[in-house]
Amino acid sequence: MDDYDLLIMKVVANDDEAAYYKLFNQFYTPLCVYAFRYVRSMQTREDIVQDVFLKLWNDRKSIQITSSIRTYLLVATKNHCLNYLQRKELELSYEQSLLKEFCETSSEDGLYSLSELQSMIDKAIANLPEKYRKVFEMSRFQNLTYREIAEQEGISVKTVEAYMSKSLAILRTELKEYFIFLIIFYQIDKF
Amino acid sequence: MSNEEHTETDLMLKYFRQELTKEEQVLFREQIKSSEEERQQFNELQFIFDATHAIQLDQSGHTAEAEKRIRRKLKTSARILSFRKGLMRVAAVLILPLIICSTYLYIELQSEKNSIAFNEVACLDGKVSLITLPDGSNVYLRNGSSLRYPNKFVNNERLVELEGEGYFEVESNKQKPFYVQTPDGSRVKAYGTAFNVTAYKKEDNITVFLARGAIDFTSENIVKPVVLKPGIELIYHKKNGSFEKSIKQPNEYTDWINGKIVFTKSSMEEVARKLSRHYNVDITISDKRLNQYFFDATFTDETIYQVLNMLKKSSPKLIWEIIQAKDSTDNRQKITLTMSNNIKK
Repeated sequence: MDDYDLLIMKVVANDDEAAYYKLFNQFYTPLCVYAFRYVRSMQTREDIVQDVFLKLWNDRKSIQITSSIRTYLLVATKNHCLNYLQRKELELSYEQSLLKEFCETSSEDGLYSLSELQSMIDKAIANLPEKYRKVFEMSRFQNLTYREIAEQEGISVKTVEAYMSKSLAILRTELKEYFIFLIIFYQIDKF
Repeated sequence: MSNEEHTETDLMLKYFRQELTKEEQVLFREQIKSSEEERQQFNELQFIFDATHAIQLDQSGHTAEAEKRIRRKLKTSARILSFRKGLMRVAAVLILPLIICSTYLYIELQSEKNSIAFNEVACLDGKVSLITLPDGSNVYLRNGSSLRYPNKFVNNERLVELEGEGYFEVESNKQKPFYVQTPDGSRVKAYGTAFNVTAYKKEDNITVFLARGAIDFTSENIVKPVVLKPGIELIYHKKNGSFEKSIKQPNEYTDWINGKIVFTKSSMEEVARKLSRHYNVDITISDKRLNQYFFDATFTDETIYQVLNMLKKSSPKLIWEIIQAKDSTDNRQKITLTMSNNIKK
């Protein structure tokens, strides 16, 4: 039972709208990102996650949350996506087929809220050397291409690539505890 | 770090930038298949990319925008219930204005230096216009759409500009590819083939359906041209550059030429969109549950009322209402679709 489970209890027991919107704000965007595994179009993913949350409010009196709100939201989003795919008979993109084959199991129960993601990424990035951090932030938070970063920083594209790959290597070490948490959490939940 | 390891990491990073070539995609799949370590790294990087992507979306207002939408949705489902009775009374005294039909054509002389004249044909009636281009290609233009093309095709290309929906039957000419450009700058490239393009400025998606031959689709947001096979529909999302393909029945895309509207397992959303275009009205679905409904139907000469009443016959819970437009910018008739047992929980 964590803070977010307490919020959903408030929603169920007291029709607490503020608690509902807190959950929405924390999990909506991570769920839209997660749904990419199944649905390519961002617009459709948004519609799907909106439906998940609408249903959460409308059915709050009858809803069965057995494990945690995180698992409930993940599974509901996944099921909505699968229903959508069944209706549309869409082809999976290359990226999606890879995720399906190699990535699905480990992330099944690892839904982090936005503030959790924010704080873990902030902490990890703080440990990057200044020049790496700058390039990493430009790439991931300002959506600049490597070429654009290279031009703006007066360095070569090759250097940008090298900085990115070093940043990612450092971040992987920095974030190790979360990966481990993810796997342990998954195993516990299975039993 | 050995050289080999270095290239493997490069491949992975290239994957996350979506820059892998077809050959590299095969290579990369083999690479992560081959070792547990690779998979672990792939998973961890995916996690970092997902996490930073979510943060970036949130910072650019994604969550805030979505919250506004869901607040509206929760409110509307409550409001519709209380106002429906009043609206029904208003609807009873309203009469749909006749859809005025007219097609006009104007010729715009462009730059004098090459003395090419551009024609722009706009189809503003409920009917379909057939245009024969200088190279003998035929274009059927849907109601509310326009096509801009030169009086002769010079250089090594045939370029036309479409806003709205058109069905193209292109004369084969391998030396002179045929391009359809849409308002957002996307392009469909064809040699000799038949296809349908739907690209309304107001709509978020561009839809391309290929009846026969081969075409490819390019847009600024797409890394490489998307190649289409016959019978496949491509939906491209202008806002984020993503796209998806699905299999469709050709008659859905060709019957409108004969004035028919065809629905085969079409969702309520699709029905509303097509009827809006065909009758030049503005149909909105205010009850999400209606999106669970699918229709099979063909309409030819029916009025919009008759069509809606027939839909209602097949789904008795469906309610359609005419809404009086408040803003004067859009003078189209506004119609909303709801369900009869819309009860707030």
